[in-house]
Amino acid sequence: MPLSLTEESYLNVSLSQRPPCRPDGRNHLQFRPIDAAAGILPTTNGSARIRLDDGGECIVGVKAEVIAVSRGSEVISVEVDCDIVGLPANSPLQNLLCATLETAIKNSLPLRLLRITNKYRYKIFVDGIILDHVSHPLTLFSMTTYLALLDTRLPRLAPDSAGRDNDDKDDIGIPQFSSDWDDADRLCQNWSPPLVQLGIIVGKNVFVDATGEEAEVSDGGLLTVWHDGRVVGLRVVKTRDSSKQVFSVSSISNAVEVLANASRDIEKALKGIITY
Amino acid sequence: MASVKRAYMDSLSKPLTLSQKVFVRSRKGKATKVVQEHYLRTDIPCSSQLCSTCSLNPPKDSSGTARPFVLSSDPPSVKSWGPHYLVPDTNIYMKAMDLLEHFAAFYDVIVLQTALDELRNLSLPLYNRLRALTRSQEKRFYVFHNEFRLETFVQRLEGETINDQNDRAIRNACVWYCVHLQEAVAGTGKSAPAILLLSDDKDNIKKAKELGIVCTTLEPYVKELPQADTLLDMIVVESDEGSSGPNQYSYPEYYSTSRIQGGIKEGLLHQGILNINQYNFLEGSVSVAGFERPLLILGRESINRAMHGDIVVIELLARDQWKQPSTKIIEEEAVTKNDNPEDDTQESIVTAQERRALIEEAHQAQHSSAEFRVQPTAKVVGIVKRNWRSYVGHIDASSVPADVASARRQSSVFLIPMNKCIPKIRLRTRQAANLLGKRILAAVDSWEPTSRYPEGHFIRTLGDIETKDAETEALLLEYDVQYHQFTQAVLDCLPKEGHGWRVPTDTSDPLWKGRKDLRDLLVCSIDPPNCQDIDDALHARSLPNGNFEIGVHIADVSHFVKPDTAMDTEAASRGTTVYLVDKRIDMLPVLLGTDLCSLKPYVERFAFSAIWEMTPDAEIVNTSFTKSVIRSKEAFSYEQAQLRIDDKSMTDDLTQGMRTLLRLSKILRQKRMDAGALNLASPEVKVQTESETSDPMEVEVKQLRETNSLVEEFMLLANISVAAKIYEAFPQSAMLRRHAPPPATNFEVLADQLRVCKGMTLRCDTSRVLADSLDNCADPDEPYLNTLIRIMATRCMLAAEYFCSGTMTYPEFAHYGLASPIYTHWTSPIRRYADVVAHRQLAAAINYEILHPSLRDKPKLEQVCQNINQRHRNAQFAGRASIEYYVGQALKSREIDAEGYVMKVFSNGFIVFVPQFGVEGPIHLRDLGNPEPPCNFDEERYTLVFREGTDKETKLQLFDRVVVHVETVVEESTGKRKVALRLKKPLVV
Repeated sequence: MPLSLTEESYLNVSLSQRPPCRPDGRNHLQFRPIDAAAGILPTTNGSARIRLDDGGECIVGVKAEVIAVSRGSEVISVEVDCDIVGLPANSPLQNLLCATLETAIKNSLPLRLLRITNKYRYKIFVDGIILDHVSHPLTLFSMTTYLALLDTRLPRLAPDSAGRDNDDKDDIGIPQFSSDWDDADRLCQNWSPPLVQLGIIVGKNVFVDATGEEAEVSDGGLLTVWHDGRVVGLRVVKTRDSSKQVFSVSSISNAVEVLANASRDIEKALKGIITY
Repeated sequence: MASVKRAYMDSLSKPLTLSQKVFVRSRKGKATKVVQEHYLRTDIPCSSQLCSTCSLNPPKDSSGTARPFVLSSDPPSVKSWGPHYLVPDTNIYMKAMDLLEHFAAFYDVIVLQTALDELRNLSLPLYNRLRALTRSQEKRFYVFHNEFRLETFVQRLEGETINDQNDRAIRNACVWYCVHLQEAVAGTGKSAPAILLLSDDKDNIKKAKELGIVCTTLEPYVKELPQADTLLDMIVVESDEGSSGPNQYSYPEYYSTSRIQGGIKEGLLHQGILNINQYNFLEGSVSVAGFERPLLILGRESINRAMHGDIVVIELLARDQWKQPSTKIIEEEAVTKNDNPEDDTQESIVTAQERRALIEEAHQAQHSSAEFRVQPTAKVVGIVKRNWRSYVGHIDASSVPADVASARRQSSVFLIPMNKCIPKIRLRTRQAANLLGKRILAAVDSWEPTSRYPEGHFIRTLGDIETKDAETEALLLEYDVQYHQFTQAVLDCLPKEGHGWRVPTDTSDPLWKGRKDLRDLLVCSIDPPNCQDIDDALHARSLPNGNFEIGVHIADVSHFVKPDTAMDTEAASRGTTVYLVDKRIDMLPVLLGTDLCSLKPYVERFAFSAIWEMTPDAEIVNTSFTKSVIRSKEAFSYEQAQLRIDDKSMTDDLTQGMRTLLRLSKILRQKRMDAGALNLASPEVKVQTESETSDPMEVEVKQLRETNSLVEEFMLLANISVAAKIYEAFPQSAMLRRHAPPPATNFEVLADQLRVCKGMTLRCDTSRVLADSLDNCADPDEPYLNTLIRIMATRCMLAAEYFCSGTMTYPEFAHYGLASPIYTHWTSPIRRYADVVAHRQLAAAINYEILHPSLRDKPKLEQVCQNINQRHRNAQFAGRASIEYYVGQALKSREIDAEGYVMKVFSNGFIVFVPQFGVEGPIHLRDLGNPEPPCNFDEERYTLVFREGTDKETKLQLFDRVVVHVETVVEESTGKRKVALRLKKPLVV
């Protein structure tokens, strides 16, 4: 149900205050409680589910497939797909989610992690479904993907398989994999997946994990891509039809700082779920 | 996902009843994560007859019956452990399958599912053998599905390897069994048998001891068994890696599986079956798709531990290493005579002698101008599938330590297999001295890169060399003939009346339904003398319109052998009856084969009849098929029939009918010849045996009479007619027989030999052209030459094979040798399984009965075809080997001079064929004088010129007639008594 003018004005004013006052009493960096679990889909290489307090729920499964590549090809093969229940396929929201995550992963994932032999490489498929969402699902989807990638394992080559020790001069070997799943390598042993964080800007304030109503009265949104301890990308997003598209440098750098802090905390929390 | 939640929830609330197994399946370069879930049960029985708890509520199958309990209440006992049930670990199955199969010990065995699954991953053949053991009841092997039973299921622990988990599962099951049996006998006053864990894994044994499980390793256990010495020899030899010392030479390692798979996919490597040249054990060849001629594999290093019949992966060698096939006779015995089986450190894989033999050949390859002779060579880089089986052979006497003391303890000896294409096998045995002079069955276990010979172990003795029983069993084993007695399940399928079975007298009996009463026809059978399994009978009578009615009546086997019965399965697996000189290994129980099905004279029999109406010119007017009842008037031998036909005084209707048959058969034969059928020859001799002792007396060349071809022609006609009929009815699943045209390259050598030596031309564009040119290859001065050429031409042909019509296109159906577009086997259902299938299909095609679903099942029929093709080939080999053995025996202690023909010329000898005895054998130059007479080998003219002593030069060319001295000697290399030939004098034509 849309907000009335009075409600909208009230909410906007309380969020613009310094210090701000959020309807549910959280401070600007505070998340609502989430319920996260990893490894829930046995047939995937890695999976996760996150449920939000407001009923939003997302499940992500990661599959790795062996593909043949020509020598020297540097393209990282990652495909991200996400269904949003209630929205038609190729909705702008879905495109935003998929494209953001796909670009973020491609830009941060080192090629060597996907290498099997000179000729064979893994291709990563990230498939998500957003079962329900009330607030903007980007952060939800990113967190779930992050957790699923942390959970992901790639089958290891069998000890006698060619290509392992680079003795296969002709590159003709078809890889053979060890049959023990426990033997599979963690994708994230030496790599942290990117984390995308959406914050809303109201006046001079920035909020994470905005509720639907909060987003409804915001000036606009900013997403940051956090990887390896710093923000590596950002983009302004519309949070409502009349969103501002232009922000001052100071408000952006302020927002980036806030979101960086939030990302650091979230990363720490999610990593705590999976023990290596 | 639902199941995930469920499993998760269950694991929280109550003991796990759903377990999950996760693994990676690696296939075609893909890695797939597989998840298997199964429920854990509490009703899987221990299957001990002592246990009353488990027998209260045993699980039942779909028909509501529970399996009987397997493990005896009174299991065997040994000194140290008392009465016990055995629980072998996986490594025991790997090492001791032959022991487990032995009748003397290993009863009441609990086969754990964990071990069974592990075994399947390690070795499929061993797995199948163990499965066969668990199915047979006499050994009392019980498969306990420990991973499905709640109490014995083990969850993988953090950081535990799969092996450790499996070992723990095995120990866990032992503990459970112990406790369970104690509970079961509690209060009954009986004592529970021990659960004895048998394992050669030190770690497993140690941990089992900690748990208080009764356990031991294999050797101490076997030592307590009766016949311990024999049993100990049967343990698989373990290859101690790295213990064989610093070998300077070793075979090349095989490529990794991944490289082989990739290589084959890319077409860089090739896969095929290795055939070793029987004249030269250092030369193998592999027929590979995409190459016209087989690729040569030369030398020990290139053959690289592959054995005859293995499916190997090969890689081409560089062009400068291409060679022509060997022109020498090289026997393993001669080259490797001085090897010591104990001594592994000094051996180099390629001895200098072998190297020299190779170099010599390489030189010749370079000097030879004949382009087609230089052939691409290749080396073995991997083995896809070993064709190892049990091999029959004898112990090489020179490899047995001479002194008695060392002969007692375990020593290594060489087994020389009967089959010359198989290398010597190194056996470790404690009974070397006892095994000398015996026929022995042994198995190959492994062939490590550092070992020159394969390692194997002893299985059993067949008896003394050259005793009839041992030799017969040896060749049955060598050719994989199934000669065991028919099981009770098979015998239960026979009619209850036994020999008293009769065709019902009342023609309204249901068995008469759809059958024609042909009892009045003048039917007779013509077969070899003393034939008991009479498949076929014939009749002919003239019709009022001047035409003739011809009938071929075949034993109605499919009436007695119904599809999907135990007897049917057994017959399908045997595939064919095997005829040895003194013995017949039947495909069907003797009651059917020689009595109820056999079309014996003077009694009524069910038959399947093909009836034609023919004009006097043998043109077919009409064909019909029917199930029938006949009563044969007479059973003739070929000779008797011939005499009767020739006897002018006989004018009865039966004789007239036979004359009609003979006349028509000649016309049919001519028509077939005109169409291009081949008249091929194989050296056929017959051994006359003394009727009492079946000792061989005389060898004679088989005589062919007109009556032979009379029967043959009508059988061919019947087969062709039936083939057309069943193909029309079942275009996808008809059982047919084809003979593919031989590739032209097969005849290149023979054609060149004839051109060079005899100035004759041999062409093989079509079977017609080949038949004509074979007719022209005759020399009035050498009447036998034509037959010789036909024998050699036959060897260039491909083998005919059974197939299922849906797997080929119509033009491929053609039978090259018979020049018929379509063909099948229908006329001998008593002795060939293909005919039984054809009978069933024909019966369905004429609406006599409904086709059984298994005869529509193309994949199943293909399997049947594959098996009977193999069985058929083996039966022929076994028959020939039997004749060879008896020829040797018949000629024992006799020495004869006979005429022979040079069939092959090598640079150090030649092969002579002696038609009188149907034997061929090598004559080595080295046997003609000491030192070996100098010789001059002209490969392109197929001549060998040598000087014997001070005599003048002798020149021998291919196809030359020679006189040879025939005697028999026991061939050292194979232990077979073989005909040995010595050159007396060449006959100058």
